[in-house]
Amino acid sequence: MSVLSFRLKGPLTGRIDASPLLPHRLAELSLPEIAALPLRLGRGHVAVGDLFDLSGSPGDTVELEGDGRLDFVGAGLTGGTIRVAGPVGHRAGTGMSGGSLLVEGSAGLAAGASMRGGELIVRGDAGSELGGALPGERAGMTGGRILVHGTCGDRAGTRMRRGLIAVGGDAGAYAALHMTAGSLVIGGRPGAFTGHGMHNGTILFRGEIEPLPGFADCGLNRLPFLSLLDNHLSGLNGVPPACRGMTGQARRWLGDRGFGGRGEILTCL
Amino acid sequence: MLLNGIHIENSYAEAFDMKATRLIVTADTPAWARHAGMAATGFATSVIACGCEAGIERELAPEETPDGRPGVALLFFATGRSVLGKQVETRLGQCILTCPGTACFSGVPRGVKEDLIPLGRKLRYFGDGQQMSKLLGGRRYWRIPVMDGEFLCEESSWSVPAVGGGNLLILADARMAALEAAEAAADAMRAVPNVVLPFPGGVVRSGSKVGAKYKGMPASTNDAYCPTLRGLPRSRLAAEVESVLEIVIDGLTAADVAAATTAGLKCLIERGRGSGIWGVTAGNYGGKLGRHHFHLHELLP
Repeated sequence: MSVLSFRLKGPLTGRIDASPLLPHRLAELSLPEIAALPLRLGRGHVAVGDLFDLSGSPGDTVELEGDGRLDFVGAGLTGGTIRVAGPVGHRAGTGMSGGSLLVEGSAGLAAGASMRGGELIVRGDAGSELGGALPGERAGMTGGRILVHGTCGDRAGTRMRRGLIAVGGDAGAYAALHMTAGSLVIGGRPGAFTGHGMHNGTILFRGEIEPLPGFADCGLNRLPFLSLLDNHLSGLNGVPPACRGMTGQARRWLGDRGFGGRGEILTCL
Repeated sequence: MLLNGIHIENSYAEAFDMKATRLIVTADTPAWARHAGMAATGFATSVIACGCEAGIERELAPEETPDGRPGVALLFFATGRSVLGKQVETRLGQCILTCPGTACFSGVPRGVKEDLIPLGRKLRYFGDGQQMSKLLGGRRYWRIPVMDGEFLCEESSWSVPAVGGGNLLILADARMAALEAAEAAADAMRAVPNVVLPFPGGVVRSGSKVGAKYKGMPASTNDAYCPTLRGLPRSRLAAEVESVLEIVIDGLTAADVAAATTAGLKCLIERGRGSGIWGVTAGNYGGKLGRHHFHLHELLP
């Protein structure tokens, strides 16, 4: 397995569009060709070689030194692995359809938005719109999985249609806003207005809540599905430990009936 | 050939290509998983009139099942994919969905579209719009609200090639001797993975031959092995043989059926002539109907 590493030469002077740094796009190029690639920096462009020291050889893995000003890291990833040592900026892993994006630090806004497949792991916190819909898109995430070990911001899983989001820490307000289907597992506590406008899908966390008035209390249940989900999570790498073990009795809230929805909020005891 | 006093006839079992699938049924307790398994594989002894042949392959510990509950593995065999799909669909709907606390999963690797056996794919409509689906690890599951909670069911299973109709005929001095030998052999054969013995207790007493003197009878009694007809010229039984029992084996591969045959032979030979077993043979139709031939002399333990 060949690894291509990018180490920052110095502090960034503006926001960088790092979306060209995908393993499959770089695999066919030589190091000098990669160093000459243009990256958007603010309104202009800058060569990869001016920002990064390159080492290793192009292949199926890219290692990137992280910075909160590196946007679009792994956006459009179709295969291979990107490992980021440190934080990333906004829209990391948007529109991913395969491969693995591992962020050791935190992620900014809209990480994994409109994701279709693959795996996004964030060891730190994630910003708002995690796994949400990109502006103009009807659906949010339609496949793959997002595993965040820290907290996430508001509107995680907006218009989500398929796939799995697991957040180890607390979630912000309006989690699973207008969710169509899929699963959002929260290891910590949910924020205000969780599940607003959801049509279908599952939100799972521990501890009782007082949900929005559109949710009907379906009482305590023991669902074999929760064991199946937990078994599935146990087979994955990088699942936040707080998201495991939710297999016992759960209160089921059905909604959001204000929108004709029949999704569910499951609050595990 | 005489082994431990038992005649092992130089004969072979003739078996056929079939299609099979495996379902994993779990429940809150092993007993309720067994209830579901027994019902779903009931009335499934022979494809001649039951549509399929089925049985409980083995019981599963909680750590072996997808939802971490005790369960059973069921094998279903039929002559083709579409009839297998129809049989599984009705048995799932009437025997597994209805049984308290059960969930049902496919027990075979994901196959191609042409081999699809619908499970929750059709049964979900029982949810009348309240069903939910979940896609986990590339497999879709349906959650159907039922009166004791939720019926969890994988969307589909797949058919795999299989071999049906392997058999052993146990020839004994007395009916009890034949019965005890058949019980012991069936127990030994059931321990082999990937096989089921579809008849009651794994044992058949009414072995059949192809055709009959009556029109419309595709099969009739195997008169050559009926002890009450020992005096007829076409009888194949020695004078001492008073009772014959057959064990039919369906397996996922020819090797599985062969392994079960060997396990059965080993058990019978170990019991010896002293237990009342006169001999062992196998049933065939002259070798023209089935592709798989299991020669007893080649499968001795």
